[in-house]
Amino acid sequence: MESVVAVKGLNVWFGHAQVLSGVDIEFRQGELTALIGPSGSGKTTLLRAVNRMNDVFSGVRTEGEVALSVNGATVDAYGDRCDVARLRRTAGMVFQTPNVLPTSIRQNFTVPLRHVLGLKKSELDSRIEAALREVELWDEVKERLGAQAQTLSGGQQQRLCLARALSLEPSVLLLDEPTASLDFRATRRIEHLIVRLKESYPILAVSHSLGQTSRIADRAYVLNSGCVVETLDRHDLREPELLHRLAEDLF
Amino acid sequence: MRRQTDLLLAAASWLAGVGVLFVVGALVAFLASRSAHLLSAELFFGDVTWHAAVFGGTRVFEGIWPAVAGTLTLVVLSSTAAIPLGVAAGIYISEYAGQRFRTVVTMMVDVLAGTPSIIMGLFGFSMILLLRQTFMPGATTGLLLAAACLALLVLPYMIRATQNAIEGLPLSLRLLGPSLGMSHTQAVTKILVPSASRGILSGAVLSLGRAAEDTAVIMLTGAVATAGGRGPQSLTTKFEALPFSIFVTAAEHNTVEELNVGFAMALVLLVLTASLFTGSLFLQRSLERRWKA
Repeated sequence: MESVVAVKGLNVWFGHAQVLSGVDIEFRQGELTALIGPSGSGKTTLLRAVNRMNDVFSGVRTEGEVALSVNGATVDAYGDRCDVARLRRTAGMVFQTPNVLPTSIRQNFTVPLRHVLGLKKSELDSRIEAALREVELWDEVKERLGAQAQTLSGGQQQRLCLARALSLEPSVLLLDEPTASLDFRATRRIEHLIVRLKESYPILAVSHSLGQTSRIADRAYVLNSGCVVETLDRHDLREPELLHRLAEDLF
Repeated sequence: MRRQTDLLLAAASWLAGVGVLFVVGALVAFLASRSAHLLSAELFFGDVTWHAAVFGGTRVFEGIWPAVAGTLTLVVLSSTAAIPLGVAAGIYISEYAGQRFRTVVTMMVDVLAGTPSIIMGLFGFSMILLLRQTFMPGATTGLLLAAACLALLVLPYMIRATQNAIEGLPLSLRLLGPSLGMSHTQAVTKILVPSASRGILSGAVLSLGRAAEDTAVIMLTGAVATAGGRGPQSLTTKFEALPFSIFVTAAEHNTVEELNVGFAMALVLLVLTASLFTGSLFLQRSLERRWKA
């Protein structure tokens, strides 16, 4: 069954400052939906609104609806009956800079798998291997799962974070500029991975680069000052002139 | 100009580092020079054998064993109370308390940290007076009271160290737990506290050292110059302790050799606290290794 996420009439305030106003977006399986816009336009806040990560900060107020339809059942992230921990597990998140635990590679998986999913020791190995294979990291680390995760390269760490998110079997992926801190080669590798993953998960990704967006996105929402100012489909994203105008206007 | 400032700053930092080494080295060298000839089993146990003194309960009148045992017991008792309580309070303040409550409690902890130890001793002493006048006429100063007052003395260091260690963790680590679907308590116990364990350890080291060396608190709450030649016998009895014995020796010695015994006790106290630090360091490192593996 397809998974779809629909955001309707979303308003977010940090203290008295309104960061998002009346945002409507949607993203679905088989598509990579990008959020683009200048810094401070509310891209990350919008991404974090989907799994309620904004709630971690004090003084944040959110209004509106974020409906996740997974396997035919719909949950409103801001509804009264939403289990926030479960919601965050459903929406796997990868951050801008690789956010590994300062522990071994294996422990990066066992901490969430044991404490979030309650998996037994015997179930861990196969789950870890499957996740690492999915991000094409298994062959690089299978001999040294006990090594510190921070000894991996930036690109490997980011793939580890992606694998860790996937190991929790999410229904949706939220990526916050996942290639921002990586070099050209590592960036292309992650992009290639993301394109493959969008067949299985609806992906919402913040991107800092119009070039990247036009390469891998199927749809893009352009944000400015907390509002969606333009929606681009696959056709628009391949229009050099349109992209050029956007670059002039926004950045 | 800027280069000169840099050089000056580097030289000053280097001097400060070397200065610390020099001061500590000079201190140990001085203590050793005055007491090296005394360092033997006799210093600790006099003419009694060590196992008779430690396990047989034979009284030691010519050695410092009763004071060593007293200090060890005091440190263990006060740390057993102060370290878990301090860590728990630090976690609560940094992770669970509301903004207003946090501000008030943090201020209170600072006030407690600034309280001179003699005041803490007086507090314990007055408490016994109060108890004697009310529902415990038989109450008297002793080991438990001294340990409790010492625990109160080191509690703020422990709270502050834990709070600072947790609050100093990077935002990325803070976001990680919730982003993986962990509950707040899971994120605190499985990610934040283990990540902050080195900072928490430095608080524990400071607390152990402070509890081992403090004299003002124990002299008002149960330490005595001679407690019958044995280590602490129960939680309510008077006891000997190294810092107080050092103080008494320094104040009342008749010969240079008696004073040298005081220096030997100081050296033993130094070695004792250093061993406690090393022990806690190993404990923390092995816990950390287990978490990281």
